[in-house]
Formats: sequence, structure tokens, C-alpha cells
Amino acid sequence: MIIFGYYIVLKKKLRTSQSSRFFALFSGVVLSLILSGFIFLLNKTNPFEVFTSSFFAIFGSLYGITETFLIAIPIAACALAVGVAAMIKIWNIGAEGQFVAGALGAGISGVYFSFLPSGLLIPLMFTSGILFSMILGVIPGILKAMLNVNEILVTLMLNYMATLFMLFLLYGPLKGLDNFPYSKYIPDNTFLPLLFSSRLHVGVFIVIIIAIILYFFMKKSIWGYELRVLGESYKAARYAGIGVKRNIILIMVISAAIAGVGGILEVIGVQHRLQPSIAQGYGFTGIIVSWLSKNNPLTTLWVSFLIAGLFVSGSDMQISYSLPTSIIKVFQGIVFLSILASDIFTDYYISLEKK
Amino acid sequence: MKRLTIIVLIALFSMIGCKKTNDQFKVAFVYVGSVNDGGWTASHDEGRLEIEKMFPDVQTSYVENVPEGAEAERIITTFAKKGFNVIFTASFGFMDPTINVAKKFPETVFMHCSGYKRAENVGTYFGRMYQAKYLAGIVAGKMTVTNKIGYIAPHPIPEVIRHINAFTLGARKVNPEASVRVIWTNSWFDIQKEKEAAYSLIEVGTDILASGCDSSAALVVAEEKGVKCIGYDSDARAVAKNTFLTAPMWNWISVYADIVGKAKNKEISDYTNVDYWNGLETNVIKLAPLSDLVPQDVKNIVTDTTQLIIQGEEKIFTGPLKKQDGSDFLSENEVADDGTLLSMMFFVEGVNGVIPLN
Repeated sequence: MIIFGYYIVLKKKLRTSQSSRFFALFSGVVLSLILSGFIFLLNKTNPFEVFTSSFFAIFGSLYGITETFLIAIPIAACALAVGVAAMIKIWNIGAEGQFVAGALGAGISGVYFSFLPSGLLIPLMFTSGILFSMILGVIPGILKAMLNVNEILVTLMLNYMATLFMLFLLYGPLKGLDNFPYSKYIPDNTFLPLLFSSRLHVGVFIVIIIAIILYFFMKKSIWGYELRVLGESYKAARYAGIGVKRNIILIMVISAAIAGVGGILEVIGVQHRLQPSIAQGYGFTGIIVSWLSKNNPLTTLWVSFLIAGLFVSGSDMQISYSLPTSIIKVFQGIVFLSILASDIFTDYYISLEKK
Repeated sequence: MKRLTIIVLIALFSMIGCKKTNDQFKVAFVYVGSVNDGGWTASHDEGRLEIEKMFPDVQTSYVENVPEGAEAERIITTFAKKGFNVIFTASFGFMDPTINVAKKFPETVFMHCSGYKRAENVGTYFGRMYQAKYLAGIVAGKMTVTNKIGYIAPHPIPEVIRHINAFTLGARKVNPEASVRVIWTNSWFDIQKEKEAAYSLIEVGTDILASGCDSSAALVVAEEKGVKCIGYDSDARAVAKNTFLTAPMWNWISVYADIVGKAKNKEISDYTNVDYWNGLETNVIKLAPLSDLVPQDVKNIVTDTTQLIIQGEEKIFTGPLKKQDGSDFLSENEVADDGTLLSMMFFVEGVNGVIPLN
């Protein structure tokens, strides 16, 4: 594009850093606030008031912060899952289903083995949740590795299978009291301990630990190096003697298990039972978060927190300003779009060049 | 870039000073659907707007499309934290979240719609909607030609089953040949599923569609296909001008006004026994005005029956009645008590449908 005899050129930055990522994100947020400000004006609400009020809804109290962390946990788990697979250019669109599978595993064992002491039951819930979600990982993994079936389609379809299977169980054998699609509660001695007398549970540390382990594993370990080679080129990896098929399957299983942990934590940390609204699109939000954080597990953590804040502020806008949900959805859409669009400034900068 | 950040941050923090506060009496509503669903949530929101008119010093707020689960707990908590005095939670699935939050806010009054768990600061409210469903059933029974009536039902829980049974009894009282075919959507509010259910009911030859779900989607389909229809929750005749017969409706204002009035004056200290469950006599439920498609003689029957129900001379669940499987439900002149009605988990004779595994 030419303006006043200048070319507008996108140039690649020589090096990208956490801070350039942060500023790209920040400029996206500012852009989205300006754009959505007009939407709020159309609704006869003062956008500055709305934004300050939402800001305080998230950061203004311990309650807001803990609630934001609470939503960030499942989002971060799904984003980490997507990120691990994306490292070797495998697109795991199935975090939602794997999350549900993890929740199912934990919920089913929690309901049916409620007679076990909590010392046995909690590990059992974790194991079965992880196993359930691994099933959803191993299927697309094997199909991709052995038959080169597109993993995007398989993981996407498995989402529906997992969710529908959960609904089938909730309307059938798992149905608890009231004939409503809820399972029974899991025994209360298995609930995860809570922090700061809020609803935030210790699962937040589990997710942080997973992220740290992933970070070091990806950057420092030999296997992590192999995977990065694999991510660059399957051919090169094969030439270097790195097992492509084995790694694809392994990574899909690990990815699914991480999303599954998110589901497990949601059951034993928050909901304490299974119910249809357990996943709420966390898996899909995770894809966006993973993309924004460029597969860096540590970046994923704080991006998840910001995105979670977006959800918390959404309900605050409704409460304080009686804005309809459709406006909130538009607002959140604008934020996502602007952030994704501004993402390009992480790696590029604009320069004006004379003709 | 850095300078820009600093400027924006300063701007953000300088806005701290402009938070508004007020000491008004505040009433909150938590909705499962959207306020313009033309059904359940719309009926509650009409009540909310009426409250604002009736009590000028009362401020109201709401959140719509709240999922029934942990999310609801956060929203109810936020309302309580913001100092709302009365919080109405208008869906069955909000029951446990309401109870959980209420424990932490003993000063706040919580009112949960359609549930059965109460506490010192949690009351419940609902209405004998089955009476209006019975009247709608009479209209359907009189108007059907194929003797097949379709009913789109949300969740297989006692409330909904009670409504279907009452509707069927009404239809078969005036037309013993009539049968009611039920399709479950397994959701309170799902426009797509409600539409699909409506199409398939028309497909199997039902010539009257009755909805038990929260949206007016079924009426839209009925209008498109030229099939007569009976709405639910709100008077949504605007979407089905040529096919709308009537709709059993909620009119929450009487309940809401009563609760808000009493809560303002702190008249009730213990809500453990506060349970509103009234019928046609209080206007909390009513039948929308019958449309011009309904002949005068049917209108007369409906008016007469309404009077009999209000006077208590006609009880809907009165024997002899048989269950769907042919076994006896009520013997001659036996009247079902409220306990039976509240835990109803079977269909009566004349319903064509299955209650999923229970």
C-alpha cells in the first residue's frame, strides 16, 4: 500500500521476545477497547465506566482474581494440550472432547467407587480421567501416524462423540437425583482443597507445574529437541533417525492427557459432579490461547489468565450495566479478533519506505 | 511503545475515582435463557420490568443465558457481593448453586424458582401451571382432526411430566380419542432442537403442536407448515398469526411484587417455609386469550372449566385415572395430593412417548 509516496512494509523482527509478545497483545487489547467502546456507546452505556468496572471486577478484589484463576485453569490446560501437539505441527482441535473425557473418567469413578477411602479414590479418579482422555488422543494419533488421516478432522469429530457420550450417560445410567441431567455428587472428602476461602482450588498449582515441566522438557531435553526437529520437517527428522510415527502417537496421547487433567480438575475442584455444561467451549478457547502464546507454555499461563478475565468481566458487564449477552458476545469477539490480528506485530513491525 | 503503555496505564488508573455507589433496594434476576426468547425467560423479565414500575425506589438487574452449574454460582455470588437484597434464580438447575451461595450471604434473600430446597434465607416459588396446561389441552382436544397432538418437551423431570399429563387429561376429557405424542429436547432452551422436534411431530401426522420449551421456535415452524399451535410461557402470537390458538402463560408479577414488598419491609425472617405455589385463582398462571381460530363453544368450555378450577370444584388429577402402561393411578373420586404431583414420574393413559430411563 502506498501513502504519500511511502510504501508501508511489514518487516520481520530480528528477534522476538516475551515483551514484544506482551506489547502486541496489549495493542490488540487497546484496539479492541476502542472498537467495542463504540458498541457500548450505541447501547447508551459509558464505555469508560464499563471498562473500569470490568477491570475492577477482575483485579479489584481477591474474589475477582480467584474467580479469574478458576476459569483460567481449564483454559490453560486445554491451551497447553493444543500447544504440545502444535509443537510438531499436529493440530489437536479435540481438546474439548479430551477435557470432557477426563471429566467423565473422574466423575464416573467418583460416583461408582464412592465407597473407597479418599486416599485411594482421588488417585483412581485421576488415573481413570487420564486414561479416558488418552483414548481420545491415541485414536487420532494412530490414524495420523499409520494411515496419514487428517488429525484435524478426527479430533474435531471426537469432540462430538465425547460430548454426546457424556450426555447419553447423564440422561441414562449416571443420572442422579431429580431426573435432571446431573450425576450424583462425588464424595466430599475427595474435593480438592480450596485457597483463600474462595472457590479457587489447588489444581491451579497442578496446571502451573505441568506448564513448567513442559517448558523445560521442550527447551532443554533431548526428546524436546527431537520434537522441535520434527516440527520443522518430518523428512529431516526421519533422516536424522527420529521416530516420526512413534512421536506423533506419543505426543497426541500426552496432549490429550493434559486436556484430560483440565477436565478432572473441573470435576473434583469445582463442579463436584458431571453435568452437560462442564466443558463450555474451554477446548476451543484453548486453541486461540495456544496460538496467541506461540506454544510457549509459560506464556500460555498468563494469556489464559487474561482470556479468563475476559469471561469474568463479561458477566460483570451484564450485572452492572444490564447489557444483553449478545453485546457481551460481540465484545468478546472483537477482543479475540483484534488480539489475533495484532499478533502479527509479535514477529513483524511496520516500516515506511520511500519509493 | 513503552511511553504509550505508561500513558494508557495512567489513564486507566485515573478512572478509579469514578465508581458510583447507591443505597437503593436492589433486586437481581438470574435467567437460564435470553430475555427475548418469547417464552420462559421473557415471562420472568416482564415481571422484572413490572417491579421497576411498581417500586420506583427499587433497582433491578439481570444476567441472561446463565449455564446451570458452577458458572451460575459465580454470577449469583457476584450479585450478592454487589449488595443486591433479593436474588431470584429462575431455573431448576440453579437450585444447588443458590443454596451454596445463600450459605455465605445470610443477609441476602434468595428465591429459587421451581426447586424444592429451602433454607433460612432461601425460599421457593412456582405456580400450578398444570391447570393452565389442562385448559390448553381442552382446546387442543377440541380442535384436533387427526386426534394426534404433538408436545415438545424439555427435561424429563416431574414438573414437565405433570404438565404433559394435565394437558393430555384436558384433551381426552373433551376427546377420548385424542393422544399426545411427546418429543424431548433435553434442554430448556435450544431453538434448533425445538424446531427439529416440531418438524418431526408434523411429519408423523400431529395437527396441533404444543410447546413445553422456553422459546417460540415451535410456533415459527407451525406457522410455516400451517399447523395449529399452542405456545408456552409468554403470549407469542405475533410469530404465528395464522395458526396460534392459545398459550398457558406465566404472570410472575404477583409473586415478584409480593416477595419484593415483604423483603423490603423485612417481614419474613425465616424463608424455610416460604413456598409460593398458586394456581389460576391468583393469576400467576393463566391462559392467553383464545385466538379467533377457536370456536365459541370451545371458548365457553374453557371459561366454565376455569371457573370450576378456581372454585376448587374441579381437580385435574381426579380418579378414575390409568397410567400409560394401563395400571391404575387413581381410583374413583380419588384426588392426587401435592406430593404425588411434585414427584410425578410416569405418564397417564393417552400419552404417546417414553420417559427416558429412570
